[in-house]
Amino acid sequence: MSEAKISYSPRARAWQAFKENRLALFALRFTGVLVLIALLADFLAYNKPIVASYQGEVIWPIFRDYWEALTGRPQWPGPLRVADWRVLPVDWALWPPVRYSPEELDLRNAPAVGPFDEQITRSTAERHWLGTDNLGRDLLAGLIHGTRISLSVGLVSVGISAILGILLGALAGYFGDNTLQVSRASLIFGIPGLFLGLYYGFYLRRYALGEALGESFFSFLGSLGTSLLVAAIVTTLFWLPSRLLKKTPWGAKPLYLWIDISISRLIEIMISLPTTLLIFTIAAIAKPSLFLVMAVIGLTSWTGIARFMRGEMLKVRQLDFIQAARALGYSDLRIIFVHALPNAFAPVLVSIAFGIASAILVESGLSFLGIGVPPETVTWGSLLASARSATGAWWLAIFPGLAIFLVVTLFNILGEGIRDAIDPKLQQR
Amino acid sequence: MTAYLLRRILFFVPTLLIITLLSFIISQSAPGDPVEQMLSGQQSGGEQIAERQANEAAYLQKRRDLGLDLPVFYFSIGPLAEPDTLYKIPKVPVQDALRRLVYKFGNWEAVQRYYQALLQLEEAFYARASDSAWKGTDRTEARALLVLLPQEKNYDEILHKLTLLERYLIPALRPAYEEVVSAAKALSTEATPWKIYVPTIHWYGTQNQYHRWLMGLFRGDFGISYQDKRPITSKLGDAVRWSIVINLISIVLAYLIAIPLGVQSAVHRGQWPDRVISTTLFMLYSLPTFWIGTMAIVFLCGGEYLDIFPPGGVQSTEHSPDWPFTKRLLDWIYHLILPVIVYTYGSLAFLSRQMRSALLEVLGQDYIRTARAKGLPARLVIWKHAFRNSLIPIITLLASIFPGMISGSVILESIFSIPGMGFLSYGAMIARDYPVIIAVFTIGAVLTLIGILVADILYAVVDPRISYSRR
Repeated sequence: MSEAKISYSPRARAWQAFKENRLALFALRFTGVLVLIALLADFLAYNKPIVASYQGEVIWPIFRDYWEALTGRPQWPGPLRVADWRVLPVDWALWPPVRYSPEELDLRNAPAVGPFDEQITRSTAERHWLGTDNLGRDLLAGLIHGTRISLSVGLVSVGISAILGILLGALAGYFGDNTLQVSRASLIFGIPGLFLGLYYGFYLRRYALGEALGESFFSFLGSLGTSLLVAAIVTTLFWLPSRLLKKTPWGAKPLYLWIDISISRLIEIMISLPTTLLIFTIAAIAKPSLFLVMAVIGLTSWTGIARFMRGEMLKVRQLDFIQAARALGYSDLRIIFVHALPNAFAPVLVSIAFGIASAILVESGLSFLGIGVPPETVTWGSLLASARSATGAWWLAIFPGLAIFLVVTLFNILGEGIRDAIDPKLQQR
Repeated sequence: MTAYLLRRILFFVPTLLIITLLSFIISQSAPGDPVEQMLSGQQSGGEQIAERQANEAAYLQKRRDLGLDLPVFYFSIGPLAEPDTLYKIPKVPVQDALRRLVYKFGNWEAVQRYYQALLQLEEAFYARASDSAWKGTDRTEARALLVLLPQEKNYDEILHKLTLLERYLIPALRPAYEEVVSAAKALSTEATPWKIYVPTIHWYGTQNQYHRWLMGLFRGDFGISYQDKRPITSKLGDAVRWSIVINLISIVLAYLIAIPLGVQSAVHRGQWPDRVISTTLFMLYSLPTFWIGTMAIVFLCGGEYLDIFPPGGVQSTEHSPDWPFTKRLLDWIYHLILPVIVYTYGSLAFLSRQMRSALLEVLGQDYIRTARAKGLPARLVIWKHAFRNSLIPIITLLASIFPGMISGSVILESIFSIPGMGFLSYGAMIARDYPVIIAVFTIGAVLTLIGILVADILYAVVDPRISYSRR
């Protein structure tokens, strides 16, 4: 290797160490494959061909369904809308490997026909390769589309908890209890202002927020944005008079904000809550919704990341380059986000990988029990649960559980791999 | 040390209060009207005035008994437009609808007039329910609309329902109907939106639902189950016992197996015993317990495959207290082997991995090198010097295993049909029996808190270096 290629940055070294760990590298590649499966699920299992020629016309049925979902306008002429493409006399057709959609009931092969049992199908291509569940739904199609649900639950919920945890942890670690000062005047107006902001932004708008949550994820985001904006404006307006009071010596007296203590107490309280039981309880009481499950998992599992981040920040803020940034007069926000965070991020990645594994586990546990996730949604957990009602259906007991086990193991291996790669103690070895 | 324990226990109280608050908030957001849930099956949907009045009286009586006619919390925050007496209105959906109307128009007097007019129309309707002037299905249609109207929270929908209603009504009800329509129209014409934007606080004192519920908790009273109308405490009594027995057995087993495994693994670090143990434990750690449980039930418990273990429950059907104790014990053991194995292996894997890294950490310390250097036998160094110190973090792990086991019980107990808290909770989740769900959550949370407290105290007892004085 030439001189120029050797990099001594910690990140490059960690990546080098990670690449040498064959198992972890394999896990990373496999995760990539799973992401592909999740993204292309419709092209792997669908009850319409990818492209077909019907009565001389070349049709792309899957894309047409996408277009219909996107525009909301019906794209299919009457007879084709209800037609079963598997029996249509097409000139030629390119099919997905599995010719069933996950929710589709194949009543001829219900209840629960095994992969090696005799199946009533028109051709070998239409076999249920992994069998069906007790409603006659294709197991393989369910597994393929379940990948999408499991991965998105893992990513979204850990995304939520990572944002919360990184923000709170970074604030607590960077500022501590005796760094951030505000004038007495700002506090006197700011704190009631904050409460007023919350009142107008969130309390008064609670019905609107609730309805938006029931509608869709994006309308909820929009509604949440409005709430945040209202809260910010009200708080600022109420805080403005403090500029006057600040001119008096009494009002100008600087006070320390106890950021670390307050956030640490919050973390302590969150840790002593039985989060899984809390998630189960909320999911059992609220209206079933996948987004709610993600949100609840995310909102209850940020403490680990926050503690990591806080510890890292405590370390990082003592380092010379942060002192240098301070000396250059950079703002705190700039130092936190541009200089400190990227350097404290590596250990958080470990938490994120383990967090995805446990979020997927919690979600499949929930759908195994049939709570929280809408009943018509096919997930790995719900497929595994169907093994309990279909006696002797070994394929239902083995394959969905195997899928959950595989994904959980993958993310655990990834987490371990990253941890080993960034652990300086191991590197010295 | 004493100061630390005192502080720790002092911190216990506010956390406990926060947990009860959380439980209460969740229970408040449960859909439906608790009073109707309690009365379900007892009321006849009659149209006769006498029957209606009896139903109404029973409803109000039950509501008073459950304390639901009290304000929700010690105080309430709301816009000036919202009256501090809104909680007195019976029927939760009606209350909710009226509150939303107040939030929209800011004029409680107008909303009140609308509600009164609606009540009068209802009364007039039931007074003439058997009038011969009704044609066809008009009466049923009108009745359905009249039931829905007070719960309607969308203003446009209210106006729409009122126009629908007009078609079905008999002339005698016309004046009362006109009254409602004009009151409904007045809602938007007499709106006072500024009143929505003035926040106010009302103080209610200790006569409120939360206080009553909390005091009940301290007495061990969790309310009444919707399903069988039994007090939840008596339902929970047996259930808690089974859960605790199984969890305790598994925790003890997990510790007993995990510690030697972890030690072996750490001592032989990098050699084949370590590799075998580590890999196995890593696999076990990622194995979802509900998968293993399901497979055990499908393959081992008398389905179409092997018939080694009973298909669930904690005792056989013919089990009776008259049996000799050893026979009863054997019966229990036979039923509990499989659940206990599945309960144990998850925490076992977690524990031994932690034990391994804790011991490795200690083995790298200088005093261990000193001990080795002065020629102590390896056994002595490991068990006497290193092992004891590495135990400390393992003990505190109790705090993180315990809550996991409690919530894990919901899935495992429902797989193995063990009549514990989790099974009870699962049944309640399916039947939407909210008070039971909330009770299980509260108890689980309190048990978790106690577990953490015990672990912290143990930690302080085991490690005298920890002074716990303030920074």
